[in-house]
Amino acid sequence: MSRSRIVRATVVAAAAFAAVAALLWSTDPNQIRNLVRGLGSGSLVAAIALGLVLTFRGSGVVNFASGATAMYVSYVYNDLRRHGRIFLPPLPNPMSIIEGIAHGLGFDHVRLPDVPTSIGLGGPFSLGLALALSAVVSVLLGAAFHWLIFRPMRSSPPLAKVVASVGLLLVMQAVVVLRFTAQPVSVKPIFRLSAPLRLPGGVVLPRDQVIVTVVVVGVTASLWAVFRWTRFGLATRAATESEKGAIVLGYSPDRLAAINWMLSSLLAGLLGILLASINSSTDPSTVTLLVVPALGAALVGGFTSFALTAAAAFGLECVKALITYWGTRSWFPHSGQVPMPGIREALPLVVIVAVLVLRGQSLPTRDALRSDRLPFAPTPNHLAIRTVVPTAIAAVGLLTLGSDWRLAITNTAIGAIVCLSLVVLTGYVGQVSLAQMALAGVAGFTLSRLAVVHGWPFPLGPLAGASAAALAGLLIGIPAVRVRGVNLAVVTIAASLAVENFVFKNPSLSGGIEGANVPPPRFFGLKFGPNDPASIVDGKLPNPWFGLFCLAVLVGLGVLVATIRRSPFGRRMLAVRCNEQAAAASGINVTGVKIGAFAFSAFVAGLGGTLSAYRFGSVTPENFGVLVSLSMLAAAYLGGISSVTGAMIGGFLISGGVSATVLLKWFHVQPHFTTLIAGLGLIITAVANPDGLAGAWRHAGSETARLVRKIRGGTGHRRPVRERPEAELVA
Amino acid sequence: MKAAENVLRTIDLTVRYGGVCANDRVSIDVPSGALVGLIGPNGAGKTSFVNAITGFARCTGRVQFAGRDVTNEPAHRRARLGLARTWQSVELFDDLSVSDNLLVAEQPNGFLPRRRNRRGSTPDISDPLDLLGLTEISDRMPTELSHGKRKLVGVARALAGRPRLICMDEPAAGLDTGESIELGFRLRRLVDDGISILLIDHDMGLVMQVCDYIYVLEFGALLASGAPAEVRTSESVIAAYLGDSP
Repeated sequence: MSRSRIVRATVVAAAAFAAVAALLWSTDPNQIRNLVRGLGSGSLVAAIALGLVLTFRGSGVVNFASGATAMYVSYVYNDLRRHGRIFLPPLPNPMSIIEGIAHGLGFDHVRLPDVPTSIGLGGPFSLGLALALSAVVSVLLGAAFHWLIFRPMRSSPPLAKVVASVGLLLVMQAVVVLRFTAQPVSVKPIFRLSAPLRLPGGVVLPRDQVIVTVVVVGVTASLWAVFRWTRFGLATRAATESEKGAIVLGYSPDRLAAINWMLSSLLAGLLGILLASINSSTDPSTVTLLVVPALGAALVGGFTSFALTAAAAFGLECVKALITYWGTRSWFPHSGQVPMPGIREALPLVVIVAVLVLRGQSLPTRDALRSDRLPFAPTPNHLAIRTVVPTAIAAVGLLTLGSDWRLAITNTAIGAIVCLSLVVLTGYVGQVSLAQMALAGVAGFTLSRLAVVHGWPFPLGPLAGASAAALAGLLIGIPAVRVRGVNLAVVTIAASLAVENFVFKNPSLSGGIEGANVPPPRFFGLKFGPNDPASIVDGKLPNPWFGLFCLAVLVGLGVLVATIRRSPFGRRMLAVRCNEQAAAASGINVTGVKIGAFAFSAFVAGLGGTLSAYRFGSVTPENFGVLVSLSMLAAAYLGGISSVTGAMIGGFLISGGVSATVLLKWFHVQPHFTTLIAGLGLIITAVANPDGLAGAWRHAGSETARLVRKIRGGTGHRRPVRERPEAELVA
Repeated sequence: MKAAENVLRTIDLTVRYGGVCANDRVSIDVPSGALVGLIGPNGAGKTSFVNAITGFARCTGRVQFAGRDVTNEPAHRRARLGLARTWQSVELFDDLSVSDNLLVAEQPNGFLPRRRNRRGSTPDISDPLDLLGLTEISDRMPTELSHGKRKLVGVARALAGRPRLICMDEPAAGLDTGESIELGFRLRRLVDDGISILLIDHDMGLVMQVCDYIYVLEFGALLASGAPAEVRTSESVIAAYLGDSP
């Protein structure tokens, strides 16, 4: 951008800002007084967003775990300041496996030592020391993220990087929840609260917010200066444009990326501490999810401009504060007695979609050395045997095992259905969705309302619910026509948050925070709800018929998806995933395929959502929140995002699924660990084995077949399961 | 030439990227069953012209295909009408086998597979596979193939849609002389089968040898046109293009 254009844009923006401020002041001065209350959270969003820009410019990764880093470091700081210790991630105790086996053999008295939960450093720390140590931890975190996760993934497709950063988010969140529970903890404030700053016109600003705002503005200015005038900034800019070019000029894109990662993580960490101090508390999910407005702000700044990004972040949070104030006015839409919820939370989505539509173009793609493709999507064959055998095993399990296992198999079937919806959308068409559980929730809440208020009977209610989900999926799919890859992930996570707050927590649309009831299914006098007393098996709950019903739905959908994959439409989906231009040149309606896939996938997720609603007998916002969507993606990706088998394995991995029950019952690993294990597994899968467990299974199968041929005296030719192009370092 | 005999006609086709005019009022005719060449120095606007014809670049002016105005049709509709193209950078579906690459183009809509014949292979793609000598490798993945073979798969995929016209963007780029001559033979055979071709290439030998008619672009505008012999002797063409490449 030329200098004159920047000057002009700045003048226009300042004039517009002044005009809006004057308008707000003249209509109601309280609007301005409330507007400035957004500065504090605006600072944090700005800090996270600046970190996003730094990591993107430095390494081409959009880091969804940016907010989680801020949250994590605030806990590190608090633990140092209060107790003088560094908490350790709660890794599953390897001893517990031995203990579990010993207990199983009847040696109940065996007690082996536990893994320590923290390292004591002797007494509470002073402010400076705690801050310095937290800063060191932040930098180390950034370095670890780069060297252990994103450097090995530098040639992975954008989807895999999104997935890895989602895994990172889940891991950090799970670690904190396991150590400190999900409840907020109180934090010692850094600043002694003195009298707030009083500006003319009755505008009152708490001093700590002023300090944080000044800090963030200073950081923004220095980042801008560093990138504008230093050799490091120039090199990073060069590497963003072309990695090859930077290498030729003698820079190491790798080291630049590492420095940017450490910087961004330091920034997020320190601001996380400052905000925790302002709020006198911190909790595992609020700051973590601030990454959503931060992504919106970073998009406004095009993931390049620090000033625009910070300005957008402040603007976004100030408008949110203003909306909160408007909520107290009588003209504001109300839902029952309370102001309409979700309008504030929908704001980032509006900003994100507006920016993407206005800009038209997606994120600049990094000119990387080479790029791998998405996970291999095999053509499913031997459909009959691969359906009948697992189904029979699951059915026998439902009809013979105890109630814990029955519940686990039922949960697995429901989870596998949602994973299946991700296989269609993400695995086959390459469109990432972080809103899958929100879509499932739309179906669940629709079912609840239709059944409770309008008395719709069993097969109609769930089908109507799934159709409502399909409609919502269609709406989310519309931006996907123009928006690709990482941007789509940003849109869908914002949509998920908006739906959660606007629909699920809205008393007039659904049950509000407490959730809504779902009556058990009845079909011509058959009672097969999970809590209907059963006459078969052991007569305990859950009702095995409900499990069999979920299994039947899963099998039907699994066969359907496998059939679609083999059909001309399935080939077309993969063609769109590979190359949209070539697909259009071959006569494929790319828009139609994408929208169709979104709607179908949402329908499948919706069926999963209605089954989940029946399973719990109610629908609550927590069951369909953003973090559940992320865990679901983790399970699906870990299982194998591009095959039906992968979805089935994904079902095993969800919390409450069969593998969680195995861990609990055989190895005494608590179910709280499921998210942690899923997050870690997700990162490892994304880094080392993008084809997922189903892919590993397939590789093992083809290797075995080769071995068998060899033993029989054949040539044992290796049939390539998937050919990977050799690294081409042209530079 | 009468309009009915032309499979493709452009009228004042203009493509602008920002302030740059990539094509300036280019009008050409491709007669049915002819092999027409489009040549020009680098940056003359050849590829943007093909993008405009096939629906991948915004343009003003008119594009008529098979007697129908397709200026406002999206790319996939033009492809289904029989306007196929290949790419300079090949652009295969790397996750699909060679035969699946062709099958995608052979059936771009509908949900059920067409009926297969008794031998188990679909008859509709065996012709293009045969014609380009790819039958042997139809089960392979594109990433396993050499660059030359990948280019042939690209042509076969364009043929699988049973097009009336194929726009070929530099099919000979990256091929050696032998492969290029071989390609020339295959293109002539296609034309003999009734398919029209618009050939964009740098390989003057190939273009002069196989084309019936040639258009020359320079700085986005038409510089000359005529039979190969006329173009070869045209002074302005020699000055603009041929003279630079001995």
